[in-house]
Amino acid sequence: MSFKLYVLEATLPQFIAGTLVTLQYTLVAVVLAIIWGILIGSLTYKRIPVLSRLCRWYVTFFRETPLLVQIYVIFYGLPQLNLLLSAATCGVMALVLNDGAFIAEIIRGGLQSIETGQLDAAASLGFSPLQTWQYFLLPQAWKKVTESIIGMISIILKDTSLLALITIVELTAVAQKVNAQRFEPTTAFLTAGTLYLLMFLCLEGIKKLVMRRRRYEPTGS
Amino acid sequence: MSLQDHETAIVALLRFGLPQTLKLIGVCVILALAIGIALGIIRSFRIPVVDHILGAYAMICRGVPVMVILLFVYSSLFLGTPYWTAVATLTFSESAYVMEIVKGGLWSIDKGQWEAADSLALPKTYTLFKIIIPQVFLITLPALFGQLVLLVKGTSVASTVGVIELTKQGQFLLSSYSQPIVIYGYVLLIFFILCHTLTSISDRLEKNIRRKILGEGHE
Repeated sequence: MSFKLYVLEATLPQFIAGTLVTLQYTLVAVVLAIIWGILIGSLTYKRIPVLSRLCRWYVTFFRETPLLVQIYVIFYGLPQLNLLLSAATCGVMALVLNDGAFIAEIIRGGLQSIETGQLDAAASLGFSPLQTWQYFLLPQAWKKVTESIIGMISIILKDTSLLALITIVELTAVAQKVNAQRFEPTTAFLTAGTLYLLMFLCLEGIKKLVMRRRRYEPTGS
Repeated sequence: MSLQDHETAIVALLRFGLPQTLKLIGVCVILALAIGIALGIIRSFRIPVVDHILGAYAMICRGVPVMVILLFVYSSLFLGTPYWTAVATLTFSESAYVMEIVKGGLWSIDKGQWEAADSLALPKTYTLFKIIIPQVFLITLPALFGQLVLLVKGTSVASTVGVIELTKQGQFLLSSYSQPIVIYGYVLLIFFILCHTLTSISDRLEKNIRRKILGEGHE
């Protein structure tokens, strides 16, 4: 029940490796979840008869069920459908589907906060709906929700810890392994927690920097 | 799986998994609300050292995955049963969020309201209980409901240290029916019903609160 520095010294390489794996998964999941979220969020905003309703259902369902169970369904369920994917693919898929739903909701909120007058203005200038979305709607919405999106990155970072349950050796799994090898739970989990906290603080710092730069940029409104 | 098996699986989930999940939620909600509101009020006073400590506590809960906290509590603190390990962990992290919500709600009330009540010669306790607290309650309610949904989802993580709730019960059923999609599908569905009910209530409350604060026609 105490922190032992010599244990940390001996296991530090493992922890660093685990941290790098966590960062890898976070990066891939973040990029894909943002793309996925923009796609789904835009589709729910646009009100295409059947598609928008389906997207809305998907978003609601994935936001209101536990990520852990979603990971299990994908990891244990897909082989049943003869889809043999690696644990890594399953893990990233679960993260993207879950956090992408949250991002979609954020993007939709951003899009809906733009005055509809702009749509008419763009249409009257002869822009197609797709161009309107690309040049007017998305950039403005993105600006409005940047802070929430960066907030989502730290949530995705935390979510990767659940991947330890499907055989992926990231930071949390490394802590479990060190604990099993040396029976030093306090050292193992405090180290992991501290490393997560450091990554989180880096993200908070990035958020502050981005938001500060934002303040000096000219805005449309 | 035959129709009989589906029925058996659902009954098993509802009889042996759901009560434990609900118990976890109930206990954690009460504890987290009590602790969170108390700490939130303390934070709103901005006492130098105390505020830093509570700020660090909030930061730990926002930055460290629940899974890591859970494993730490489970293997370092020896709280007896997996159930209390889960209760301690979830309460620890939810309290921090409730604290921040309450603090924000208290800060959002204009100081002028205190002064106005004072100029009307209203007693301090009356002002607090009849003017300030009702407003804070209304302002924070939607956020607290959102947090409650996160707590409901968070209880599934308790399965990893051996609490036999919905998710764990689902895992048990997998040994008799090797149909992960169906079994976990049911687990997802039960969780969805729980969370969606809460979200619906929260949405309706938010609309009513908007009307209360802003008057009619502001929805």
